[in-house]
This record gives sequence, C-alpha cells and structure tokens, in this order.
Amino acid sequence: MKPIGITELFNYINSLIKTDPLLTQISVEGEITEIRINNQQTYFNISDGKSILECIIFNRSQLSYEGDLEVGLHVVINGNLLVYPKKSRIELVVRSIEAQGAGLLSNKFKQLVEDLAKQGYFDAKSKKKIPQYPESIGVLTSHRGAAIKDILSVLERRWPLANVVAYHTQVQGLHSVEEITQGITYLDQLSLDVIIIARGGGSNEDLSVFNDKIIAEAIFKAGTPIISAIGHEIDYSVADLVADKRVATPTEAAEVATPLLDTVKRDLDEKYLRIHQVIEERLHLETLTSTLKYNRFENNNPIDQINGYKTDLAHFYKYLKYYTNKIYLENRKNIDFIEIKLQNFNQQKTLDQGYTLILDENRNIVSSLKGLNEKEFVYIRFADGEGKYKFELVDEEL
Amino acid sequence: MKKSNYEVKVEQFENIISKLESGQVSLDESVLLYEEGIKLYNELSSILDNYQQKIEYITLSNQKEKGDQGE
Repeated sequence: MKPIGITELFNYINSLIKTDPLLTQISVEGEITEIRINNQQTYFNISDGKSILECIIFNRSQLSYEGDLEVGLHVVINGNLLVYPKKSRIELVVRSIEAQGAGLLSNKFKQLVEDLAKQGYFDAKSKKKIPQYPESIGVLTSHRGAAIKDILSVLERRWPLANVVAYHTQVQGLHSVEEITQGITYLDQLSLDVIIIARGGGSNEDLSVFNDKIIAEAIFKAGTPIISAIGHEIDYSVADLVADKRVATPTEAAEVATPLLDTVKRDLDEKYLRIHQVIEERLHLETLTSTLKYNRFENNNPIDQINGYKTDLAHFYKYLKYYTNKIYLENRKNIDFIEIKLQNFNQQKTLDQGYTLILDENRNIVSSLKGLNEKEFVYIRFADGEGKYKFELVDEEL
Repeated sequence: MKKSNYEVKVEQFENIISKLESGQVSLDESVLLYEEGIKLYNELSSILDNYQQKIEYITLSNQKEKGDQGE
C-alpha cells in the first residue's frame, strides 16, 4: 500500500467525521475542569472523571449561552467533532451550551476542600514562611514541560547561588498521585530551603490530579516551605490551597522563591555604607565629647590657684622679711646701748680699784708703749675724773 | 523553619548595625561590633560572588519508565 501524507490523513479523518451524522451533530455532557481564554476563542475541558474532552468556542459572541463558564459546572454541549492536525487532537467545536448546575467532580472537590478546611489545612498560621535567601531549592515537576525550563532559567538569572534538585514526576496518569506524593516526601527529607511544585505546562495536562487528599496531606505534613504553581488565576487545585504559597505560573514560583541577586548585592552595599557611617559618626561624637571633657578639665586646671598661692606667699615672705629686719634692728639698738652701758660700768669698777686709763689727744685708750714717746700730752682718767697732763719720757724701761 | 546560612548572617549583620545605630553600646563594644560587621560583610560578599548553582536531576528509574508511558 502506498504511504500517504500526514495532512492527507487528517483531511481524510475530518472528511469521515463530516459525513457521520452522529459526529457532526453530537451532544456530550461533562463537568468543566479547566478554562483558557485566548482573544475571541475560549478553550475548556469537560470530564466525566475518567476521560477528558477538549472543547473550543471560536467566537463567544456568536454563542447563545449567556452564563459564565466556570470550573465545576456540569454542562451539555452541542457541536461537531474536529481533529486538529497540528496537535493530533480531537476537539469538540461548541455550537451551544446548556448548564446543568454543579457537577459531581465539583461536589467532590467542594467536599474535600471543606474537610481539609475543618482540619486546618488552609490555616494561615500553619503556612510556613518562604525563606528570603534559599541555598537549596527543590523543583517537583515533569522534566518534559516548559515549566522546568522556565523555573531553571529564572533561578539562574535571579539567584545563581542556590543548588537545585529537580525531581521528575509525571503529573497525569494512573500513578501520578503516588509519584507526586513520593516526590514531595523525597524532596522534604533532603532538608531543602524551599520546594516548588509546578505543572509541566502542557495545555492538555489536567490539574484534577492535584485535588487528591493524599497529595494535600503530603504537602501539609512537609517540613519544607512549599510554593505551588499548579492552577492559575481562575482555576486552582486543593494542592494550591494547602501549599504555603500559591502562584499562577512556574516563572512566578521561581521569582517568589528567590531574591534578585542584584538587589541583594545593593542591599548589602547599603548596609556596608551604613555600618561605616555609623562607626564614623560614633567616633566623631566620641572625639567631640572627649574634646569638651578636656576643655572642662583644662578650665579647672589648678595652675591659676597655684599661681595665686605663690603670689600670696611672695607677699607674705616680703612682709616677714621686713618686719623681722625691723625687730632685729630695734633689738640690736637696745643691745648696743646696753653693751655701751655695761662697758662703761666695767671701766668705772676698774678705775675704782685704783687703775687709771691713759687716753691720747683723740681720747682713744692707749694700750701700748709704741708711739707714746712722741706724744706731748695725754689724758689720764681716774675714778673721780680726768685731766690733761704734759707728757715727757724720763727713762725707758727694758 | 530552618534558616539559610546567608539569611542568618545577613540578620546578624543587620542586628549589629541596629545596635550601633541605637548608640546604646560602649565605644569599646562598638569597635568590636564594627569589626564583626565587616567580617560578616566580607563573608556575605564572598557568598554572593561565589555563584555555584548546581542542578541535580532526581529521577527514580521506575518512575522514569512510568513517566515515559504516561505522558
């Protein structure tokens, strides 16, 4: 048989669908599990709990349905099937929607959320703080999707210091709950600083696997802070609610988990400046204080007092000298007077005993023979008076 | 929650600066704190300068197989 081209194959399948009365005008019921809006087009999945069917609304405004599409809504959809050749995917092109109220999956989800809420799984007080400067980061996701690439590139750009442990797990399929739980437990026992749980990023991945109680328990019991990037703004899973921090995209998860290196460096430099500034100010202040203290000390220098005492002392000394001298002179005069008196008194006593005094022309006492021969007269003093006598040597005694 | 080495050190650094800024420490103590602060700054700088991001891929072999089938 001659091989045919892929496009030809899809064209053939689509032509078969178009001629099949059931498939061109089909009515399917299910519960909305995920919604994505892109410009005019709305994509959503419906599920019966086992299988998922992708639906597409090409132009919302042409649709008669007025209500809001939301996750958990049970709907009946009329439309035709189409195989999308670029993705090898079967899609239901929506012509009309009929809402049937909240679906079974949604009710199960609500019940689980309520149960876990009662057990305190979502309490703010049990949320662990995401560390500011992680040294080790665990990433739990499929290594096939875009999520792991996005996360690693953000980590590399923002915070290249941390070691990253990337744990591969499938996020869809029979064993995915078990694998995700194992992955959380494994990463948790590594004592990392933070764990990111992300969906692979493929649009056909279902987040309902993360609405499992076992996964919720594993996240809740983990000692490591966990950031989840499983759902998105309008659609989230139980795991998102239990996680310590919930973000919309894997990129955001990596951003929340890490600081920006440049900012950290700038902060550190600012701190460096602050510590310099504060010590300089302190030293300046201390210098100023000690200068003031020195001035106070100097102002109270005892040298002035000492100089004062010295001047006083000098005065006192002068005064003392003057008066001492005065007293001395007075006493001296008295003593001289007494001495003269005493002398005279002694002389008189000698004269009374019969001795005489010979005085020269100047009335000085002559006590030696020398020069006496030349004298023409002398005074002789007796006890009862003195007289002037002519003097002549008769014989010289040897 | 355990704190990373960097977080602990940067907290210590911040505490030292706050203490110094409060002016409640003696001059001797402030000089010691300053010395300690500069030491921490150098350590923190060298941590930041020493980029060492290492990526370790953990894939348990049986899980990898299941993954190959599953996706």
